[in-house]
Formats: sequence, C-alpha cells, structure tokens
Amino acid sequence: MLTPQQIIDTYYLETRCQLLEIAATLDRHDAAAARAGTPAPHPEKLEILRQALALLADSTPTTDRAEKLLIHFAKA
Amino acid sequence: MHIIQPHYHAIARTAQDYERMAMSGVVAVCEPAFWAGFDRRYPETFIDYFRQISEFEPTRAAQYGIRHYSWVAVNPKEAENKALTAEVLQAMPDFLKMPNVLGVGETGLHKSTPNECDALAAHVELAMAHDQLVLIHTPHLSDKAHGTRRTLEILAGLNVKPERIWIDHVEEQTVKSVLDAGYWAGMTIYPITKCSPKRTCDILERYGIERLLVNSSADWGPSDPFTLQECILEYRRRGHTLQDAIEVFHNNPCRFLGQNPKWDIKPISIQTEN
Repeated sequence: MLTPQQIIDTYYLETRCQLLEIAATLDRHDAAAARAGTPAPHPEKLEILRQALALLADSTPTTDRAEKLLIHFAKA
Repeated sequence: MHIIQPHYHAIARTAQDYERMAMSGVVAVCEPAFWAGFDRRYPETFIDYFRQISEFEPTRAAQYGIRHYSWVAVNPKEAENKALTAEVLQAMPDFLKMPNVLGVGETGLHKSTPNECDALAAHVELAMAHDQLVLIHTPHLSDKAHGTRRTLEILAGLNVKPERIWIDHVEEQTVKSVLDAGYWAGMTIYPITKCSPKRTCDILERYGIERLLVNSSADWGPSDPFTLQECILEYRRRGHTLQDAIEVFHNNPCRFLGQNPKWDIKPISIQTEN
C-alpha cells in the first residue's frame, strides 16, 4: 500500500483536475444565471453540491468521507 | 464534420490514431517540433528530426487522406544549451522553405530562465526575418502564469506582427492577457493537465471564438488525440450549431495558418436547401 506522501504525490494532479472541473461547473452556472438575469428555479441540487464541498473542506482525519458524501447525495 | 488538429506530435503516435482520426473527420494535422523526453546533444539530431516531420511524416498521414504540416524549433527545455540552440537556429531557414513547414515552433518557455528567454527572442526574430508564423509554448502548471507574462514581455520588446503569433496552452488565468495583446491563443486538452473539453467550451463561450484555437493532446506522454472530438461533442451539446463548431475546429485554424500561403485548406460553410 502507498505511504501518505505517495498518496499525495500520486493523486495530486488528478485531484487538481477534478477540483478545476468543479470550479468550472460553478462558474458555468453563475455565468448562465447572469445571462438569464434570474437564478435557477430549482437550485436544490446546487445546494447539495455546495454542502458536499463543505464536508470535504473539513481537514479532521477520517476515512469515511466518500461514505458521508454518498449518504449526503442520497438526499437529492 | 471536417476537423483540423492544429498541434499534433505525430511521430509519437500510431498509425491507428491516423486511421481513427480520418474516420472521425480530421483532414489535417500540424506537427510542431517537440521535446524527445531527453535533452538532445547534437544539432544533427534536430536536423534529422526536422527531416522526419517535414519529409517522412507527411507520407504516413497521406495514407489516411490526412494533410500533414510541421514547424521547426529548439524546444524550450533544451534552450539551456546555448551553443546547440545557435547551431540549430542556423539550420532552420532551410527547413522553412520546405513545402509543408508552416513556421517556427514550438519555441517558448519552460522554467523562464534567462537562456530560455534569449532562445525565445532569437526564434521569434528569425521567424519575423523570414516572414514566418510563430507557435509559442507556455509553461506547465504552476509556472504557466509567470511564463506567459514573461513571454508577453519578451514579445513586447520585439518587432513582431501579433496576428502571426500563436501563444499556446492558455488556460483561464492566461487567455485574456494573450488575446488582449492581439495574439492568437491556443487551448490544449489533456486528460488531466491543461484544459479539459468542458473548460475549453467555457472559455470559448466567455471570450468568443475570435483568435482562439483548440488542440487535442497528442505526444508520447499521457495524452489523447480524441479529446478534440470530445470537445466538439460538448460544444454541440451546449446548443452551438454545426457551423459554429466548424468555425472553431476547422475555420479558425485555416484563418491563422492560412497566413502562410503553403496552407491551402480554406474555411468552409454549411449550406442548407430550403
């Protein structure tokens, strides 16, 4: 199995790419809202995504982030 | 639809890539000179490489009905070797006369060292002296923003025609400065690094399509020539018309590259019967 440093070094670029995709998706939404001049009528899924990001931002050591996210997404 | 791959390192790819590209609408590829994965030590190695991409590779592409063009330069990663760079630069004018060589590239910066900056300036001056197009690589990842700023500073100090210069590998943090300075900007789609198909479409929608080029990634590392088709699918899925897509993925390369008379592929428009 990989060491903590190997995990960081192995998955850094891939995770960077995934975060950029999330950022771009949020930008895309906000640009569309600005073009439309009105927010999405049903923004519940967006709020679920934002809550998921908040869950990921917690740096407390744990091994059940993926499980927590799946339970969180089950609310959608 | 007809597609042009403006930045494609064919010698690192298989014949199957050519076959699949031909089956998916690619009509032309352009092959800039590239880093071999190690620093070459002899000018003769570059000269043979330039022969490979200007003489042999067009014959391989032609078997699949694909036009092949190339560019010549010393790669930024090898510009630390000043003597080598000078010797290769001396040999380049002969290749600029070849029927499929479109200009000088990819030159540019990697770590933005003084030697790299000198080599970039020398490449651009050579290109301008021979009335050539220029393709400029910008650095990877965390070096990109600084390297792009340095590139623009160096170009601002030279007597250049911005419309004949293509600054490549722009992303969200660099595209505006390149376009604002009057240059063409290229986005390169890699599986993990540089742009993704979706982010490329975002940039096209945000800045408009004028002076923007889109490349797939095609080299000896983790890359995928069909990221270009993924991007076209994403662009069309967002509601852009077939003609819109042709403007980006076929006609814009024709507009930039057509400044060199060797490039004879013309922009196309779709006509529909009423």
